[in-house]
Amino acid sequence: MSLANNDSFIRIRNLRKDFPIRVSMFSRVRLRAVDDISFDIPRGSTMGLVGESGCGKTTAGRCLLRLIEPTSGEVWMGEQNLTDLKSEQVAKMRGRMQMVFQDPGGSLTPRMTVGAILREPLDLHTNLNAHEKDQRVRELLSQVGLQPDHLSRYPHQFSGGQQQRIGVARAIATHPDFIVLDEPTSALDVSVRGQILRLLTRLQEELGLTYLFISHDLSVIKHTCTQVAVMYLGRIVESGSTDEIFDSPAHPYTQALLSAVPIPDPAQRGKERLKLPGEVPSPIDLPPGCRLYSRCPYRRDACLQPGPPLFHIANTHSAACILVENSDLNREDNALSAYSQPA
Amino acid sequence: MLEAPRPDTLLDVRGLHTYFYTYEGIVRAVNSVSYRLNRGEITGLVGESGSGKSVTAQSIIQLVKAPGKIVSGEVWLDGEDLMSLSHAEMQEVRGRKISMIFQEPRAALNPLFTVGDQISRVIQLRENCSRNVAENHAIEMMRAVEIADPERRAGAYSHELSGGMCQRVMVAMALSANPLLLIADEPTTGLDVTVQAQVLDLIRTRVRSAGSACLFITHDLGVVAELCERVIVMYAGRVVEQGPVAEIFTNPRHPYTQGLIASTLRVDIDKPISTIPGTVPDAVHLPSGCTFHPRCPFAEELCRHEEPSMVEAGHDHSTRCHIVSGRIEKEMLEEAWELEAA
Repeated sequence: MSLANNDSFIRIRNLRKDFPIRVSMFSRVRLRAVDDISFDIPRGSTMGLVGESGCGKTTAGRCLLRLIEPTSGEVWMGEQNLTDLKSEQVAKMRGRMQMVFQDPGGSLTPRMTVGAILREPLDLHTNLNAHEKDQRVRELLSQVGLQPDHLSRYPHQFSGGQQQRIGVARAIATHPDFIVLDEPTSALDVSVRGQILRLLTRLQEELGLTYLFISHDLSVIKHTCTQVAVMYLGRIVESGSTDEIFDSPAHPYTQALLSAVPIPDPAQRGKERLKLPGEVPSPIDLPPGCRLYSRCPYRRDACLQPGPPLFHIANTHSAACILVENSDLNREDNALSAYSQPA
Repeated sequence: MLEAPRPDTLLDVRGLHTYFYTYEGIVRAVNSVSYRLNRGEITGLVGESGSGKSVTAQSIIQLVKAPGKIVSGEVWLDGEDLMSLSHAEMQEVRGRKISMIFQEPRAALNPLFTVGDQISRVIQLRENCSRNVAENHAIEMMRAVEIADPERRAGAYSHELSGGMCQRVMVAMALSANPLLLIADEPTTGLDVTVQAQVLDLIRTRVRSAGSACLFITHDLGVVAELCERVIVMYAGRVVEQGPVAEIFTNPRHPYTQGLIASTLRVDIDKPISTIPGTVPDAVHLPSGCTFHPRCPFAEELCRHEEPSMVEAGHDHSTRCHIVSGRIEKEMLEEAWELEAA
């Protein structure tokens, strides 16, 4: 693929990941965790990947870094096609692409001091001498707001927020260009969460980092990302700029997801909501049509046809719903009548 | 002797202290906590991890794990002091008068029995009825919590059901005993938002229709705003503010509550990310004076030395702060939290 768009630093094309699931001794079925997703991330910006548990967002993030091997599709970082590389070449690239994990305590080796944890990526990916490494480790600590005397301590001696600062310091140690943030704040308390989000934003500005921000928390996505892709059962159902997604969500799933988020304002209690009945169905052997069919209030027979593809709405905004293509104006009424009788 | 509580007061907790005796020292997990729950109301108990909100609930049902110990306090439920009951009597209260819903429904269910068995066992114990009657009642309860096809699902084991479905089973089980008090400890924390909305609806309608009281423990202010009539805010083992939900959200008086509301991100409003500086203090070595003073942008000398007591801050609204009580003359400016952003 040629460089179609110079701004796009990360380009994902038709990424797919299947897991074989053993159902009995001789039969296996296919679980398509990531189903043909494509998106671009401009250099220095943050792409949010949002969805509920089991939608494939973490699998997608890991496929991007080739922490797990994608079944098919392409991942481009700059002019490098990562999916073409051999595994030893990928290992060399790891210094340029890093990950911050959800569980800050569990992602740090308990028997290594903070100094050793931060020195490890430098040993693997740089040719600095011992003195330069020491300097770099100290510099990293101050960049993430920790003290030099924290170097000789172990991870369990820190609070959750501080542990996540160490995780961030480790991720930026080798001057990466791209970082996948997998739910970096969901294990943290509200008052500490803001500190980590602000740290990530500041580092992005200072170091020119490109982020993929994976989260199930829409309020965090809204406040950190420039673009958003919403995933449901392995597919991207809607993508666009943060304003487009939050101000005029087009896909019924995005609408339901947004309207299910509790608003911390008692005055807004009891407002009309779009509620989805039931739960996310099993991702094994899904029918070809729209993934939301079993829960969607606007469903019709045409939804069972294979697809639907992402329909263009405006600028960067697109959604995978046939109603968007037909731009059905009576949807609001349909929704209310669909829910007037209890399930 | 105690004064007669208001008729609609169901639970009256007075001066509860629960300490944990660890090798590092004494952790005052619940420190002089007092509050009341009214019938037919859902009260939100809010705080960050380590604030003592779960231990408060465990203390009410007297299931505090060692090395924790209820040191002192009174817990009056429907005119009866639970602290004076024997072990066996308390066991009765736990089954019949107080039910609890836990954060991890799958861990709270027994994996070796079908969910129908577990619900009907609760009903059998309470009603002293035959197994057959209890089983039918269990299926009715499952229908009431909107489990589709309850006859078939009653024969399922917990591992065969999704997290949301397990939580519905827990709600059915907790409510099948018709408890006076329902304690829900972060019941929706592990659930997806679309499923969380369903479970919250369910708890709301069931508590309303049964006329029981509910203590709803959460760290999510959004859930509180949506569900609760009253709010209790805890910080480092103490209640720092309590009052009606509209009061707390529109007119928070304690700096911690203000900071908590300011740092809650919203999907409906664009605002800069504010945070409370610092971290929750070490439980063994709590700061002197007001435990919030190291993180408080308004703290003065007095806050470092003297602990504030609970004062009236409005109708049915009280808080624990020297500025509100007038001991310190100072204006609490909302910008203080925004300045922190710089």
